Amino acid sequence: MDSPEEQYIDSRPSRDQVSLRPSLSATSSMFVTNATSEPTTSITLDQTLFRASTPPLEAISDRNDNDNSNDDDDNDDNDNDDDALLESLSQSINSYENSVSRFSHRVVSTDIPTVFIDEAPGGNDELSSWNKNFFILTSAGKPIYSMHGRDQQVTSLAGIINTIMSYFQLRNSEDIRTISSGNAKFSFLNRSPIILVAYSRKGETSNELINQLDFLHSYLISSLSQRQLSRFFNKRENFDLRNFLEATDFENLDEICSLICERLYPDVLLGALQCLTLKKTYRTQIHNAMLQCLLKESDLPRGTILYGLIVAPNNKLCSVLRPRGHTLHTTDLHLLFCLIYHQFQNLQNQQEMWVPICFPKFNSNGFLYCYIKFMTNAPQQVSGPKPVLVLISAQKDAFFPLKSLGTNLIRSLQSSELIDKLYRAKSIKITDVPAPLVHHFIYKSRKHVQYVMPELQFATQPDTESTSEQTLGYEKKIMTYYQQIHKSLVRDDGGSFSRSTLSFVQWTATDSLSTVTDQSLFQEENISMMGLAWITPSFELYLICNNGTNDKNVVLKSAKKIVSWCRKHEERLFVNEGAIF
Amino acid sequence: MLQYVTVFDPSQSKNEDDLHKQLLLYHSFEDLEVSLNDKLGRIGMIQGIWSLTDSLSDVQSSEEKIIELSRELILVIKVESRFFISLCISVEDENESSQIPHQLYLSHMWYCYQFFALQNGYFSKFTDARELTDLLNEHVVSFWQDILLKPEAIIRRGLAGLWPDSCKMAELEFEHSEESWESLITQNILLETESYLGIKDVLVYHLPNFNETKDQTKNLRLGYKTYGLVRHFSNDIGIIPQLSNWIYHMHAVYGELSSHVLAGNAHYKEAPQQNDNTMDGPEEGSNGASTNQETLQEQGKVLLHNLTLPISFAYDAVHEVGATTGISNSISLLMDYVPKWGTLGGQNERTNHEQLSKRSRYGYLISPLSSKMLPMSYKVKKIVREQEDGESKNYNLLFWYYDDILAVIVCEPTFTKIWESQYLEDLSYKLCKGIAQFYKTAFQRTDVKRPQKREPFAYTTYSKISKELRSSIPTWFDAKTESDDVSPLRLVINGVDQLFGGGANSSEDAGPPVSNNWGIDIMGGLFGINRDKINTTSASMREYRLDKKYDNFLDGLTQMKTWELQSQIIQFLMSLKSSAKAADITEERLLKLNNGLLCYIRDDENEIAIVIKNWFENEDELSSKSLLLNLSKDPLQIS
Repeated sequence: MDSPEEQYIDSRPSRDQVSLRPSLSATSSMFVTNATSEPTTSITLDQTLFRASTPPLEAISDRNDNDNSNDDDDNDDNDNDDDALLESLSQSINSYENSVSRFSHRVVSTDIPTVFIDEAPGGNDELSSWNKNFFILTSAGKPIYSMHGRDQQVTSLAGIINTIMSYFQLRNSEDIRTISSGNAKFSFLNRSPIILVAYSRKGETSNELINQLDFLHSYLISSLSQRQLSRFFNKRENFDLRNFLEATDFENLDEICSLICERLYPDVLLGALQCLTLKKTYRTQIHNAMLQCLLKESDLPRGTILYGLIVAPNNKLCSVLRPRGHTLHTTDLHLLFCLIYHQFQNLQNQQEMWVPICFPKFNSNGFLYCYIKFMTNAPQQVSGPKPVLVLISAQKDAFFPLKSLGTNLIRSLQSSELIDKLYRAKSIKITDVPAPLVHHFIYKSRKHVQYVMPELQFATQPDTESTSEQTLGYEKKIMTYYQQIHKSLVRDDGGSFSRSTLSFVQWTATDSLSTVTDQSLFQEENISMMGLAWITPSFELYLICNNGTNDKNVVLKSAKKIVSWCRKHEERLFVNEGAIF
Repeated sequence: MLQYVTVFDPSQSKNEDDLHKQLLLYHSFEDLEVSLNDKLGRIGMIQGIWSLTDSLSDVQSSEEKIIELSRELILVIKVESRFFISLCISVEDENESSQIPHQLYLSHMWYCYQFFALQNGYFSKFTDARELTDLLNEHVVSFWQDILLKPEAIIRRGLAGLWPDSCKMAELEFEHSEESWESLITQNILLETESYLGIKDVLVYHLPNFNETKDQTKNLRLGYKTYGLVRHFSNDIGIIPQLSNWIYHMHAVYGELSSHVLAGNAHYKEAPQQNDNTMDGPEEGSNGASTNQETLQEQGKVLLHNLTLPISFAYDAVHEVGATTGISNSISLLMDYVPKWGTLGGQNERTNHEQLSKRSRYGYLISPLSSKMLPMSYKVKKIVREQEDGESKNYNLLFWYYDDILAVIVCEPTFTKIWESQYLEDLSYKLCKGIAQFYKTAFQRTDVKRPQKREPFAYTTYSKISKELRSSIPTWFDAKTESDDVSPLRLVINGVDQLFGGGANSSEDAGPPVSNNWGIDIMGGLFGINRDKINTTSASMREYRLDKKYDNFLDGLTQMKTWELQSQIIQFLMSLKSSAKAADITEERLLKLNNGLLCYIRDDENEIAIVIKNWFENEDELSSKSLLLNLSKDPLQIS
């Protein structure tokens, strides 16, 4: 870049830079520190996105190379012919036919700006500095868990909450549900002897908060079971549950809270599972192998095994073995997956687990027993998340039968190289789907109660510390978009406005930045984010477009393409029936 | 339905022993005895919740809170930074469609406070808590009592009542003419030497009556966008939104604006002959008609003899709300029986301007011309403007109407001319001239050939800066027309029903014709009053009057459908209001429902805009292009 131009850019207020260019892209992505090259990098990226033949960018080095070459291009173009560049840009984006005039159309880019109130969390020690918090306490007002905050703060707060709840209960046996105050909202869930409270300034609906609380409550139940809980509290009303919970329980609660609040984890929001994308034939083979192994163990008494699951990393369901007419509740599976990939992550290859877990939606009073073993394709492989086999039984002493079943199954899968297939299974990329201008989407099939989404573009980079932090920020941002888009078509109580609803949401920054001189190509990108939510009786689709997209027509076409693509590949994307015995 | 309303000021109480001092008002709408302890417990809990939410909010805390319980809803607002007003509503789960969204109750709490401050000044101006309590009892309780008995009051204002700081503007297009009605009013009244600086402003409202359910007049319905404040002439009054909302509210509650309504003397009472006791209303009337009437009669005598207490012409307004007509019907009924009810400006004046006004009715509603026997509130309406610097300013208001136009004359309290009847008659004449011009230019068109098309869209815009609200989404109607469980209501004028012989249930024999010596009147024009007669006699006239109808596609919907639509839009708006977007971001939403509703909402720094279209109606245009492109970037340009 020529220095005068750079100076021109640098002299701008840095605030704008920050708001336009979230830190994420600054170092890791191809969007380079150099703001001047933005329009061109955008083009390249769009081309790579929409040109099916181009392989997705995978390594930083490649990106940087790309980037540099683009910068060169940029210079050339600047020197030569702006019109030609813009012309090619409009064509490559393929967005709208009527964009002929020079500067009338906006630049589309895959860099996603933030349009939401950005509260730096935990700026000071006060509870009020968090825009989201969860509190769990006993009906007697003893704190059990809080997402943020010191013990002292939480104890006094728990006292107030308890007073409020019991006041209304004593007066006319009513439960307090929510308190709304401007943008802040409290939600209360009374699951005596446990009280759960959510606080949010993130614009979530009451229904979302209640679902999150229910999830947390389900976790407690899964660890203790309702019967045990009741027993504690029947004996002594002011029982302090904290003494009974283990350190891992608190870690798991932390993990769940961070999944819900910080990560791209739409499972709770949508009430659906994510599934490993796997070729139909492989999935069928796995299911067949499961059934055959089960048949071979003919001496296994009926009812020993309830369910069998193969779960891939990132909480993705791969295959199910289940009795006819029975399925596991989504929440139960969410909990199980969280446990596996958080608590048991460090299990050695040869180790196996036999753990009692209460599945609160299956039977909140009793425990089921899970045989858990990670599956490796080669014995020496150690690092990285591995797929896992879970066999569930209702019998406490069924370890050995299940162990032999599991060993046989793994052996059978290994011999047919199916485990290898699991390792190699790649989640879909946005480039796989012919949907122009779409940055990311979530498609939920209501029939399967499963959803699919392409992998995040930045999530695949090698884990250095700064990138993982950026990935987190990026996930959170995307999740906020999805949450807001989702909210646009549901009522506060979670009901939808009509049987099928289509909603566009667009965020644009007020044009404070449009004062750029018109001969300059180094226009900062205006914020113009568009999202779409579409609910019908058979599917739900949420998508986020690239920044700068403003043509509803193209977006809707893309949405339709995504829907038909997902339907076409349904067998690959979702686990349909599973192996039924 | 409503359970209780309470006003309290925690700063009144210094220690444990005088906790009761903070309670300024507690009114239960149910027939329950509530002990003082219980009351204090409730307000204590509200304060506790208030501080709990504030303790966790980093940012500027909101002045309103909504506490949702499983069966009730407690709405709390904080005014003047220390007074809390709280309203408790029980939530009925069944019959969800006719439920009034709580946001509207919340905005009416603000209205209630605003109207109080408008008439009595800020709460904090009162040094004697008992005096404040008395006024609150008079004002706040009756405000909510009327809403309890007539929830239509909220429904009628609908979406337009959602922004308590806004002022609904009327949108009328005036044909070009040599002398506009505005200049007539400015020159003849505001700038005229006699009244210059005495009359501060003239507020002109167009308040057509949408209560129409009769078939023959249905087509005459004007679009809702013509409803509201048409024009005011000065910018330093400062109370336009409050005053306007007060007028709209009165209109919505009582269906008509009359002298009694504006003087604050009209209220609803549950009719004595109530068969159906399911409604949670005050039961005092249910023990028989006789007692009630007797008391009133008793009262009346006292009033008549003393001539010191409010006395008023009372008319009987018994009717079934369950019937399709609403309250206006009862008034028209009365009008039929009281043929000589007319303008107060005197018959001679009326004949003078017969050619000008044709059959229009006009006159004062509140003016010193009213009978000497009537209390002060019938002569001038006194209002207080609380200024930001803590000072307050008083104004005297006169109300004058001409058909559907209501003119509010804002005078300095020192302006004594208004007490001269000659001056008032002159003023009336001048206003009449101006407003006649208004009617001529607003509803007649020069090129009648081009047929006017209904607008295929409806909109509401609320400007966050000027606080102006424009809306063409029809709201005004009587809700719950299909439900039978509403007990009959009676409009009573504080004072006596029996004064003129007409008992509560005896509208058949309306008594002797009433002379208009009382100087009181009821507003409404051709379509509000005596409509049956007009239908037969002045068909031709009507035609020329309504060249312009300002209507849109939603005007064809049934009342229930319109209300459903309104509640749905309120849901959309609430969802948008809780958006996490940053302040300088414009958020736009476009929703398409499978019932064909296409709703565009835009929220930016300056305004909120809502556009409603019917998705099916536009299918032809859309098939070729984008289904949604036809809603261009800025729909306001269309509107």
